Amino acid sequence: MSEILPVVLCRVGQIANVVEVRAADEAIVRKLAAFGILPGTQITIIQNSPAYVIRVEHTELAVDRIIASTIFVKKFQSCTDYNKLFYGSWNKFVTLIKRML
Amino acid sequence: MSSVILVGTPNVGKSAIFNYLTGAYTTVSNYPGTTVDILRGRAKINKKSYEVIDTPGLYSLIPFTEEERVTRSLLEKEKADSVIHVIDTKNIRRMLGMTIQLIEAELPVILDLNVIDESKRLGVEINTSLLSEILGVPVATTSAIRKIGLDNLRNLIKNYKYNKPVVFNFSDNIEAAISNIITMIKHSYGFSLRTAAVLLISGDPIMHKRVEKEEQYFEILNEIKLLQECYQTSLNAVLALQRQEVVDRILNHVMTKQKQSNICFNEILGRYTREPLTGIPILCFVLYFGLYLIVGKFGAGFLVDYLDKNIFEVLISPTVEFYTNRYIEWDWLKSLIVGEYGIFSLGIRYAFVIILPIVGTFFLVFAILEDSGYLPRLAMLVDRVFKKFGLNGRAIIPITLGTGCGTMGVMVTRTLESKRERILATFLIALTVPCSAQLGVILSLLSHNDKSLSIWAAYIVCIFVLVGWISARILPGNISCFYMELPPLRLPLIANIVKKAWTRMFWYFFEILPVFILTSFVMWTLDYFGFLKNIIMNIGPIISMLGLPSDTAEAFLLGFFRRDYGAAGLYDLCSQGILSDNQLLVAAVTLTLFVPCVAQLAVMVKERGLVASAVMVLIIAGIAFLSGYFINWLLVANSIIL
Repeated sequence: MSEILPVVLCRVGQIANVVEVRAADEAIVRKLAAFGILPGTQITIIQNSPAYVIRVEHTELAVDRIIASTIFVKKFQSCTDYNKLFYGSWNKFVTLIKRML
Repeated sequence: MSSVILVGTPNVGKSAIFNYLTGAYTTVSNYPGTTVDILRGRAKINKKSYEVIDTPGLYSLIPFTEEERVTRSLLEKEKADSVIHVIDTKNIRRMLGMTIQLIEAELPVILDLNVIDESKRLGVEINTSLLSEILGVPVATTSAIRKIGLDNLRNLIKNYKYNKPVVFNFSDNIEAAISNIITMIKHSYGFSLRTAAVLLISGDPIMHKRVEKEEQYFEILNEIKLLQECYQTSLNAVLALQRQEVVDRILNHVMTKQKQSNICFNEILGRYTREPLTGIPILCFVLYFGLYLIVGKFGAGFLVDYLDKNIFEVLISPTVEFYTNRYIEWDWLKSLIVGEYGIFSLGIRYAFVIILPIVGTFFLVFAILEDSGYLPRLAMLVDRVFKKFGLNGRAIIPITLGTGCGTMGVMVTRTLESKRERILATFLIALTVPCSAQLGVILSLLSHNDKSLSIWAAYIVCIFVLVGWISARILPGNISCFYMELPPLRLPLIANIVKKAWTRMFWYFFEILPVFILTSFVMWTLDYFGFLKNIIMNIGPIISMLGLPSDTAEAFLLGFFRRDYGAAGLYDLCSQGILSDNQLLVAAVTLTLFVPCVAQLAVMVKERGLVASAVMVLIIAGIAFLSGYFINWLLVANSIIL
């Protein structure tokens, strides 16, 4: 049993399933649908400042606070450590730079 | 001639395919009634020639922006022989919905799974022959950048035969409503009747507006209302969801996925460019390196000097003067060509020597930023700041373009969603954003004195912030939301960049050359009949209120015809040593803020209407003059000598 909450309240790295887009403005629903943000879609919240960045499949979508607060999701699993996943490759990056130099 | 239209969302590689199909001959044309650019090119496939049309990005058949509206009406009106829907294979789940919409609209669709190399690396495999069978349209797989599969795409275009489209059904009650609506529509509306009905149900304002005239429009509305009562969410969302279910069913059959989480170099760089801690320094670096060093120093400094001193003064000017003096007897004609305000010595020379290199280097840098996928990140980073000015991050694109050419910047405000934003952006571009030609000349005028340069920059930024903040509060309306896809960073292809920059530079040059020639002709006429002295004498007192010598009046007058022209006039005055550094600063500030050039004014009137433009111009003239007066007063009152 997990609660339903808007994207603005999610932590970075959270994987979640979209439940619905609760926007008074129909245009927002339409826009998000065009980007594939529909009920049932799995998304990852990968950044929350200065804008919210949501990964849908292999696409990164940047939205502002207004839109991020209309997307309601259900947590899919506990936070994956996006940072760990990411900085694990930091070493790879450093070796790459070293090799280039 | 047969025609082929390329459609798809932005960043799927449409232009790379376009470039491959068409070779070197392309033209940029404005779509009738708008200023959205449509690229058209010729392609030859097996001795048959085709017209290939590249369209601005389209996310769905219901448009959000002016550009998308253009793409849609192009699809409706242009009876193309084939419509190639280009998609990014790794995002097929999100994009196949539109393919289905296009098929439903009875367009001759060819589906092109592009960027196939990236999706293979991510472990996504598609059974194309099965997909083609299910959709009932030909499917190609390509990687336009790596030149894979393009011959196959050409063959598909050549052998294309239209088949009766496969219908993908919605749920029964929606299908019933669709067939009811179809029977009530008596006329045809570009796409198929089924599409018309679906668009009506989705609440597409364009289609509703057209069908309004139908006798049974009221019954149609009723039908939609009845259908809406079955659902809690909007019908548009219901249709989108059902269409997604169809896509998922298809993909279950044709797609295999291997889970691979290989983070590669692009992704790392991608992350650093979007996170504030690293992104903002990168942004500053890009602006410093791209705009200041390449456009400012190299384009406006080195290239301008080189062209002027080593080519024009040594080779071209003497030749033209020699032949004019030799073959033309009338003095008036001589002075019209090579005199002080001559068409050659003023118009053509300024266009070639001062404008061409600056604008050329700017478009080159801009094309690199555009093709690498950096611009959306820029938009995302500045979104919060721009919200304070009543704009959203999207406005960074017209404003950055405005630093290249204000005229182009104003045109591109079309990509903004609301009328309010378009007005705000147009106003800010006209008032505060110096175009590259102006920027180049001003940088070279002020760069010997760090103090003046920083005061100038600080003042312009202050005005931008202040005026933006105030006008956002005065102009009624709401800020529209910001959403933007962040494409993966890609290494841009040199051939594409050069072609893009070249096409734009070519367009720009032929747009401004007549203005320059006309300006010099008008100036010559005024000068020849002695009016120029009168005008200069009349603006003289106003100019001297700013503490400037009356000679600058001429630069200001020139500046009205062409913003960069005025700055170039200052450049001449400066090289004669007439202006002190204080005066130079006052003049630079006033000219930067002053009324935009004729070309930009014309575009403003065209885009925003006469009344809005007139109001803007009056405010701009006021602010420019007061700013000059204020800075001069500040310098004199504190007896500062720069």
